[in-house]
Amino acid sequence: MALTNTPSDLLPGTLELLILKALAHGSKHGYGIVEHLRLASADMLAVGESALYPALQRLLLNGWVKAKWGTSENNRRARYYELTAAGRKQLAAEQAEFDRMVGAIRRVLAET
Amino acid sequence: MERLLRRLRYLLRRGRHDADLRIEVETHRSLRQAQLERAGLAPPDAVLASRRALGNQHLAREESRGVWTVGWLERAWQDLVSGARILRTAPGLTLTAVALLALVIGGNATIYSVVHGILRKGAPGVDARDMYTLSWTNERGEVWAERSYDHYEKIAAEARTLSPLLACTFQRVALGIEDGVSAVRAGLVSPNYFETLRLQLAKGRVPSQEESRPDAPGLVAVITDRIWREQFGRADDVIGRSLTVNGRHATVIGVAPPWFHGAWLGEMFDVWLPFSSYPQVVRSTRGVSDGRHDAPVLIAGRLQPGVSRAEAQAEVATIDGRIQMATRKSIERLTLVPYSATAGGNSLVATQGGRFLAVFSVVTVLTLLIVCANVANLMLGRAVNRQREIAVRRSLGCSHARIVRMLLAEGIVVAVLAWAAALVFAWVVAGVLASVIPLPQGASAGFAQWYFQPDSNVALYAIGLAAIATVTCVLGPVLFAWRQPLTPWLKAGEHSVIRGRSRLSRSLVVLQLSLSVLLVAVAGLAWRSLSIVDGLDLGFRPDNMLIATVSTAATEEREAKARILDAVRDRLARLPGAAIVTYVDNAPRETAWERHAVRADAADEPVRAELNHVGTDFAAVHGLTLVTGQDLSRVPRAGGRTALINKHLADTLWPGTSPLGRHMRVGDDGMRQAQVVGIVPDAFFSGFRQDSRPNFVFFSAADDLPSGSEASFYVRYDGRLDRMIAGVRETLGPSGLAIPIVSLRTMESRLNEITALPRMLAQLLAAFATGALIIATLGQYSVVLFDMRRRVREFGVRLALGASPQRIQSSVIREGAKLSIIGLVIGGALSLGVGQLIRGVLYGVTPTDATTYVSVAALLAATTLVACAIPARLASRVDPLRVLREE
Repeated sequence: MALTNTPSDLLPGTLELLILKALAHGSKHGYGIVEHLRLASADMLAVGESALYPALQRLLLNGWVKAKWGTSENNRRARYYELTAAGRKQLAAEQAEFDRMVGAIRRVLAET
Repeated sequence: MERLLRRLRYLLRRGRHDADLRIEVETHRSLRQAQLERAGLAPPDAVLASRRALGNQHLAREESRGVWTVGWLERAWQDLVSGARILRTAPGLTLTAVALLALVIGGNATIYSVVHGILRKGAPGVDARDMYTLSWTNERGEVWAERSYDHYEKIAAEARTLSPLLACTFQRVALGIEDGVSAVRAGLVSPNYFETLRLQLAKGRVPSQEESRPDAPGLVAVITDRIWREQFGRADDVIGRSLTVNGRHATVIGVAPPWFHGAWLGEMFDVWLPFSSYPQVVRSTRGVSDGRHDAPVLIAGRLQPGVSRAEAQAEVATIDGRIQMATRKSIERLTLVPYSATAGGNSLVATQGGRFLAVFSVVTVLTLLIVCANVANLMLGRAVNRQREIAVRRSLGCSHARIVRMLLAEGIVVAVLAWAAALVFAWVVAGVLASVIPLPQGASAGFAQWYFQPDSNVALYAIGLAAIATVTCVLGPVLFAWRQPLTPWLKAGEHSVIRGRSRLSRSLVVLQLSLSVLLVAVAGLAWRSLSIVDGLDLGFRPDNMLIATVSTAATEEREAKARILDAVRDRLARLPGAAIVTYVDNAPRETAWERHAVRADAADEPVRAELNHVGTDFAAVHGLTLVTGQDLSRVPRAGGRTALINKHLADTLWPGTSPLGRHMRVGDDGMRQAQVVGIVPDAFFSGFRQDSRPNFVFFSAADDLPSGSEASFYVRYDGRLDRMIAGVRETLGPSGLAIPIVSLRTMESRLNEITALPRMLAQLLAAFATGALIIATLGQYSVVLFDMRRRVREFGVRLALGASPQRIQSSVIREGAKLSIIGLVIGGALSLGVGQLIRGVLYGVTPTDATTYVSVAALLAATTLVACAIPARLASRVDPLRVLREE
């Protein structure tokens, strides 16, 4: 498993987008988010696991997610994150922006 | 906005937040560990692998915190926390620095709050914002705050920018409640008086428009809290009760809030009446019109919203100029003075307050400088001791800016502590002052508190001083750290010898010494001046003189009044112990008696003289005999007015010839003529003033009884004062003549009041100078001691070579004396300059007064010896053997 502490191999801001997307189908705790990203990307996207937390704090500060304490699968205290209405809106906007960006990059690369 | 709220919420519970994050990450790790174990790893390996998977947790936590906080704020906080460490590492130094700064900031804040309170605050309960008092200045620079009511009505009718505009005047009246009659002070006020002041009455209501009209049927009155308490026993049904004002029936319609005695301190009221009642209350003895329109009133108004002071000044001055043009020969310039309870007019505070304030601003700056220099020296000493620490920090990559920030943080911590301590100090001292300073006559308890208690202005002022203190605390150490070379300090061992102290610290001591010399010299001059004033020959004997002032407001006619005054004089003269009694219209007071132009002939240049009306024996009651001529007679003289004048005026008006029997013209128009019948010796009859050769004209009261509502009697007595006072009270009291007593004072206490301000000035200056000198001496002591320690080796070697202990002592003292001499020279030069500035306050001494300067030099020599004594002793007792062994 490739481990990086900083998600520098991602485009800037992509980590937040991925987290928002991971939470789109229901609330998850930190480990859940990491696992979701790993499985969904077939092990291609592995973020440094603790690097997830500053990103989550940024989302909390902006009010895009809210957190609730609950119990994890192994009966420990875990914080579950959930998208807010503003978070959903932000997800849609960021996804559109990402598509635009990737499209633009693709067009540049497709030049002959 | 929401982000900000979330940030604040975070700040409030940051400890919780950090713990939460820790728990969360730990749960994450345990889940990962469980997953790895399921994948087949042994538990200990799984633990390690899960930790690796998480990466740098510390960094993650730090970054998470960073998301919530603002970077520079966090760093500033860290700096402050590290700055606060000075409390632990150098408690003695911090305590000394804080104490010194707290004393000087607190002392100055106290002075400021008292002066600010007296000069700038409005009366209690009055909304002083945007209020201005009208004030006029004539071509001689004399200031007047009064105009006739007529004049007021004309301005008020036209002024749009300064509106509403109030007018009020002061009258001593006899207030009758049930059986008792007492002399109280009444304010006759315009209908909008309370509205303009935005004052809420405690009970009842203000006079209505109808009640304020000249043809209003009944008299209405608003009373003070004091009258309500003392005369009505706080009765709930006081509204509607009746009282008499100078014998006229009146109805109480309102009670003012506690402490409110009118808008001006100088004229404190017990009762307010509509101005329209003037003719009823003030029985005109002049017999001309109803007197209402000539009554002088104080005028103040409130700016309309959105109008500037300059606009209002322009409008009101234009209206006023037009009115003056129609009635006067010379125009007096109108200015709008910001309203305060003491502004306007020519009261002592209003005229001298500004100068008082100026002197103390200078003193403030000086004491602050001295203390700051002292604290800077303390901090510099610390910087010297920390040279190695700073050098190590720098060599490890700490930037200059970071070191400056660290030193600044220390300074701020010291200054903030000092500021807080200073406010407590100022609060306590102002409270003590308020309870010590005598209240103005008739003021309620708590009144002084209102004026003296520090308010937010004072706190701000103290913050300003604290900021200056911070800068001075930090500047020296910063300069020191900035210029410091690194290598020698890194090479030197832990216990390296501290090398020579910078020139900076010696200059700081010289600065302290010279500023103290300045303060001591100025205080010395003020004391000298005061002792000259106190020892001054007034020209008469003020001892054993009692002044009894009574109210004659209840008496209508002139003849009746004259009869009453005669009766009072005769009864007082028959009292056992009373030697001589005479009547005077004016007794000595804060300001000089009214000055009038006097001419020997209509064509002459006028001479200005103070005018009074007096009875027979005026010279004798002062313990004087006439220079020439005869005394004023007891009965009116048929051939016109007679007068006494003093010798100086006689010599000025009729040089070389006898003035007896001559006529003089008094007043700008020369309308009042009087024949000189006698000459009194020169004396300060109206009290001591700057004018060293005052002129006096004394009209005979028998010929020309003044129209005022008060009269005073001078009683020269033998024997005990308390018996005399009891006798006077009895004579005038209800069982005797039943005349309301306004005041009963000795001549000496009256005269002392006149010099109260210079006296207070001298005392405060002396207090500040003493403090400054003590601080400077301590500063000198620490520098001399430090120098001595540095030279221990030198002294040891010299002693070993056979130098006598006396020689060593004198060499240490010489070092200290060098500082003193430089300080004395600089301070002396400064005080010559400052002395010129305060010349107006000093009487009888020139700013170059030799006695003062010799005393200052002697004093400084003494303090230098004190400062150097211990270091010199220590130096002469250095053990040569130990020093040589250490070598």
